[in-house]
Amino acid sequence: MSESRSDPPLLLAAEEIQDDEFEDLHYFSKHDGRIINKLMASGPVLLRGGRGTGKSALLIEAYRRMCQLESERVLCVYASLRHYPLLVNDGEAYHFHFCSWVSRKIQYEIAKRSIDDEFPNCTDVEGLRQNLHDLAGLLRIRVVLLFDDAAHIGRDKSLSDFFDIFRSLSMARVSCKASIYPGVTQFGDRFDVYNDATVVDILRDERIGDFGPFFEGVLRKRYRTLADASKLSEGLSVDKFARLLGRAVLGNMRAFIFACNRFEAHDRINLQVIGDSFQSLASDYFWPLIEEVAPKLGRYQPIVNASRQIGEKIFGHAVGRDGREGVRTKILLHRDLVQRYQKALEILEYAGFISQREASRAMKSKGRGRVYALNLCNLFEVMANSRMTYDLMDQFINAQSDPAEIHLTSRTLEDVEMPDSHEVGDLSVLNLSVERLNRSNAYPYGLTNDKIKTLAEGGFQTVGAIVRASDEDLLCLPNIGQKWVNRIRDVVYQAVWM
Amino acid sequence: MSPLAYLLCGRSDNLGDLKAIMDHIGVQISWYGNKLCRLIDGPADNEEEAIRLAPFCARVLLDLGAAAMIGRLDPVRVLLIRRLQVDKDYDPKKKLAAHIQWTGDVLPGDKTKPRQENLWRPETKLESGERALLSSYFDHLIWQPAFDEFLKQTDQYTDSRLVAGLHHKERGRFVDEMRGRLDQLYSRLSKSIHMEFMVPIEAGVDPRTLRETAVETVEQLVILSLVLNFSTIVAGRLDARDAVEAAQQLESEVLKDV
Repeated sequence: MSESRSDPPLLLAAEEIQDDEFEDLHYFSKHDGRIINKLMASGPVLLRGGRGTGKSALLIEAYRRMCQLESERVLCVYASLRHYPLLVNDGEAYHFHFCSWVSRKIQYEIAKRSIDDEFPNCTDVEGLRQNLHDLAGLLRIRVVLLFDDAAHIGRDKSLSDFFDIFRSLSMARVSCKASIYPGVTQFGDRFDVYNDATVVDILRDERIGDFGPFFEGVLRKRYRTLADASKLSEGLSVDKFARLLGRAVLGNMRAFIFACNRFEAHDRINLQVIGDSFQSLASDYFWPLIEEVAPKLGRYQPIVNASRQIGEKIFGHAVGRDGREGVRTKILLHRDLVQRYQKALEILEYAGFISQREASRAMKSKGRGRVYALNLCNLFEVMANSRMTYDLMDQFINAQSDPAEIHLTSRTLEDVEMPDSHEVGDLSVLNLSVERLNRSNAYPYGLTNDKIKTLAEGGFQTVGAIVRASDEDLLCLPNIGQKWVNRIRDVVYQAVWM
Repeated sequence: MSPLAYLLCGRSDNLGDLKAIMDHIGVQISWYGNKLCRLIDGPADNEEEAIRLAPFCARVLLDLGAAAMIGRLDPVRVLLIRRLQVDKDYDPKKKLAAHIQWTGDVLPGDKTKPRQENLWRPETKLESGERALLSSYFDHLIWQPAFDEFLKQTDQYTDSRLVAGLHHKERGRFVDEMRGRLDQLYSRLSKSIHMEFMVPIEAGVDPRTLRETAVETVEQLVILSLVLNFSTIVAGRLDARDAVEAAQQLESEVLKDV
């Protein structure tokens, strides 16, 4: 039996989903609708959100709607920047590869719409800008360029090149939109983030009124069996379950999908199942994610250990020594500590352990700090003799207690050392053996032994070798057709890009 | 008075001579705000009218909103304009030197921000531009304390996306962000006021962009005036609940998806 029939790939990322399945697998709230409108309207936009918050899904949905509803008025181009030369170059070389890559995407879109015009292969920004301007004028339309995966946390250098191009290509009839991570602050010398674009934040914050209904909507759309009230034990309702799960993973859609896949395997969902699943998500999903993230962080890879240590300590701090203070689902970290451990906290946030809720709050013990919500799976994991109860579930969902404070003088993080980050050559993930792509907790979307053997025997010994290979190179391998090439690419993209 | 006018103009009961000005601005804001909503939510056959008139209404709202906020923070500024306009020598054909200007009174003229260490020098004397609503001085003296107060008093209202969104922001970046957004909106909307287009206007302003720009204008005015009402020195200050409820009403009625 082939892998595709016996074990369908785990679809965690919107960009991996086929066009004909996209609508069936996605749910958009009213607020998402507003974001999509901004992406479809004229003007430069930066879509900012953590990993798995749904940036790609929103960009793809904007693209789909523009193609369906506004093809007379708008030429829309979706360009994922998961393109190897863009990962390893900066400066002029980056400009060259970027312009060529985007030109090809525009050519594809023109051909798809049977427009009687040709778009040249531009290799510099000025040429691309001029040709986009001419194209929009000639066809009397607007052009919207959607750049996905533009900002890579481990590669700061090329970011200034990207934002430079973003600014140059933004014109009256040409709008650029790009997805970025909250940690991205390197905009280069020419780009003023507040004047050259509108920043739109995707907030999946449990305090906001539409948080619960949003995750319930996702559940009803994508996991109908879980949205069946008869599958839930007494005292659990579909909306409560969806809210709990959404809150448990801090509103991270990718983790939510992963968790739902786990729950789907159970005939009945009761408190015991929820508790066990939270524990196993902590140990099989969140901690391994740190391991997965490390080799793609570039210069920040040495900081991963500090992230791990901080993660353990803040979750321990939230639970308290004897648990008498009750469970705290948030921490308030003094701003000097936030400053000191900034990148380590960003990595924890990226991996879904914590999520910022308030930028600045006064501390009881004087000073100000930042409030982070904690994921409930890792919190539950460190609670001594933890047992899920209705009372605890309500505390998790309706967290009213003050956050646990970690002040400057607190000893909680005193032995965490922050190593220096330093410029590196290739991302180390590129040098990993292809065998690391085997399906595991760290790579849940990975490949089977059979396919890994095929790749290794075909001369693709490292992840980097596959990234650099063309489709034609991979198609030469035995039992590898275009469908498998796409699948391998998806796995490698997940492993290399954020 | 509409919720937007209420947020921008505040409670005018005990404002003395300022009351007449705020009431007048409030009536204008209510009228243009309602007109804007009717235009952008109107039937499809209304498209041409919306394209021509909605940017004008939105731009007027920006001007009126800014004037209201300036008046509440610096009443002498608007009282002087009113006095000059009722004077027997007032000539509508002549430009009033004291009139409120976007650059200089709302945004600081010089885009280069003064460095933090240069703000508080003994020789500092606020010149034109430095007294602007969104100048660095107003940021430090008015907006940042107001923002802190807002955070302190709105914990229980974070079910509102607008309020929660503000809790996610850095107090020191709030004014920078508002400056950028308002400046972009003003420039975009001004194109429709000054009839700068020598090509058909529809080519540059499609209905979706138009609607988005109009909604964004209202949204930014709501955000700015909401925070302003938490300043301890602003005239006609609304209490926290009234301010948040007005913002929430606008959030559900205007800042919705269609």
